[in-house]
Amino acid sequence: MNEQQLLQVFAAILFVSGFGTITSTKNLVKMIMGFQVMIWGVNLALFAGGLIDGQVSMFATSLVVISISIGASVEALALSLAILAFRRYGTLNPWEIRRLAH
Amino acid sequence: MSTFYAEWLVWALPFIAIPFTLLLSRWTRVRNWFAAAIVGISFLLAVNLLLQIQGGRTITSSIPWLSAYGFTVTVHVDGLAAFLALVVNSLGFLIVVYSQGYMGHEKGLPRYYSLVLLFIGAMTGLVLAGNFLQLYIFWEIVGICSAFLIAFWYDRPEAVRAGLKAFLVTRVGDAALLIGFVWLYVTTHTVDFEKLGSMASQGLIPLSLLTATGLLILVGAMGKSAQVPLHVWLPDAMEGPTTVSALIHAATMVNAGVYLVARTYPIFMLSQTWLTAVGWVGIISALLAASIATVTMDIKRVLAYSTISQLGLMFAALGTGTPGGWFASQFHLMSQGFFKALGFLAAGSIIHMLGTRNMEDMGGLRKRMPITFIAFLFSTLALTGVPPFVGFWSKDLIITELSLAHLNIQALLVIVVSMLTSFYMFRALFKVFFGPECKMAQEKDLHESPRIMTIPLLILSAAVVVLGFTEGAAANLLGLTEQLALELPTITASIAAILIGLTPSYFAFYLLKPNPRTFLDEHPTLKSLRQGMLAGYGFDAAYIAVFVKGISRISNATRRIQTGILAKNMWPMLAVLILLLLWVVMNL
Repeated sequence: MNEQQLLQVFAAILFVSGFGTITSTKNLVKMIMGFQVMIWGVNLALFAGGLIDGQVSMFATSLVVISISIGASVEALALSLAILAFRRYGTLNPWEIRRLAH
Repeated sequence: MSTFYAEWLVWALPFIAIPFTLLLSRWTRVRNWFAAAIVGISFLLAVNLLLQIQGGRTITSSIPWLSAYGFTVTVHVDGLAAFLALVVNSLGFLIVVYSQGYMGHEKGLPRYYSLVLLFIGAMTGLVLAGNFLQLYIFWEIVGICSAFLIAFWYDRPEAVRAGLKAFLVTRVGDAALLIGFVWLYVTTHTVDFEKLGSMASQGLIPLSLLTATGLLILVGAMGKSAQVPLHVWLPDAMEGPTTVSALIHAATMVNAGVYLVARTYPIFMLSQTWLTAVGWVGIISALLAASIATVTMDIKRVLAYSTISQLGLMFAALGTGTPGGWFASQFHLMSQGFFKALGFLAAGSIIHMLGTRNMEDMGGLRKRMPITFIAFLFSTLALTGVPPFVGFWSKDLIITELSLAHLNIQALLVIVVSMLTSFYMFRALFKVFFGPECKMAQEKDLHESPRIMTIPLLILSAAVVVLGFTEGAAANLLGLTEQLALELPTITASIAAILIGLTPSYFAFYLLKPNPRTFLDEHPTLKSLRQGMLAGYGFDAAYIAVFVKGISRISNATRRIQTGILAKNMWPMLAVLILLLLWVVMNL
């Protein structure tokens, strides 16, 4: 297994563990953290895809940087929604916020 | 790399400008003109590209991206790409200028201008893309812009529904396109158009694979270009602002499908099945849509059905498999872009002043709106193919190429489409501009639209007269070596078709002898045929019965496994992901 494959496998593990976090937690904030871990996985995969013979592609890297900043703003938005939900319902457990389910 | 990096800036500039339009939103006039200026600069860059590739040169410039998978970001400028970039940006510029008048009093303009700029940038990027992956990314961006702009007035339920419908229906095509090019990539390990083209011509790709992937990619093209049976979204898309209909749903985005087929022509043209499918999809769409346009009362829907029909003619020309047919389709694409944009902008000018889209409420507007009248008249003459308007040259070329390729049935059907076109366009013209003046015009004391709207109309009117004479230059640019000739039989046939279509239209809608309403009551068969056409031949009803109701039936049947807790529903997905991960690690 070379360096690139190692990075790719690690990226896949990050993605799956982020997904696992989302499915197993009952806390909105932890869900958002899981989502962010998934995005890290994707970014790492994009970065690893840009490597060739250990050289980094500038273009791929700059796209990853853009992706990181978009990810950060999405996370900020999600956290602000979580705060609104907490103020409105007094809980961070999405299973208790079930107005749409009824 | 060329001077000014024109091939990169031409599509990147609108993207870069988007945040600035948002920042300038406080000063609305500055923001509006800023957006127009950016598209204007993109247009100049497109002209620059066109000058650079004179004499059969091409510009290819690429940056390594995901090198591990062999993906690069490649801008490939050849005659076809430069030609279309020019069409997109010139029409885009005129339409953004027109928007200043048409959209002047609307709310949500920051959203409007940023989406329009995003669209123009992405559409230019799409035509300059050198590989499937890049094309697909831009393809999705234009799709999103289209859906958002259809639903621009989001407080109107029908507009939101139409936006969603456009998104869902084109999604079917997009999924097919994705599967098609990924399948090609898995077997050939490249997504580059040029490499794939040379591999196909050397016989390195099996014919069965070419046919299968080619048909999938054709489905993608049909979704975007609204060909039967994936056409149902386009007439509903008329819920959006008219400027959007003109820019996206007449002049540029709907051409993306035709462009995709033209771009991948060198790859798939060896497959005769593919060529036949392309041709017949076009002919059937052209006929069905033209017949529906003869009965529709909404002026924008008439133009929308007409767009589907004209796009069908382009597919029909591509079905010939000859360089001449290929050129005819692209020339008609340009020609359609201009005269249809003109038609929509003229219709927009009427809708803007009158506040209705129903042709029953219009009539006798030619004296009160003379410039709009001339614009709509020119659009009608160009669309029906009256010489010397641009539509005459491009439509005749299609008929000639079809008959040269010995596709006589198709050529005959195109002439039938020509008759229908002439009938419905003159019907619209007579209903809107002739006859007694409508009540609304008198009540509102109707007058011509503001100058900011009529100037683009006049420029486009001049363009549809002049552009027909650029046929030879366009053929040179697109690298067509064979001589183009107009043949007397086809000219006679197409002019006869115009007259045959015009005559009943003139009697029924100008002289009102026989009066169309009483005439229909006397002929119940025609009346029921009209009902069928008005229902769009039942495509929508069938989709609702099969997909909408079918899916809700399946979901009701499987209600018990639906816990209502999202996390639990996602466990199977997690299991599949873990299995995939294990499989990948095992195979390293």
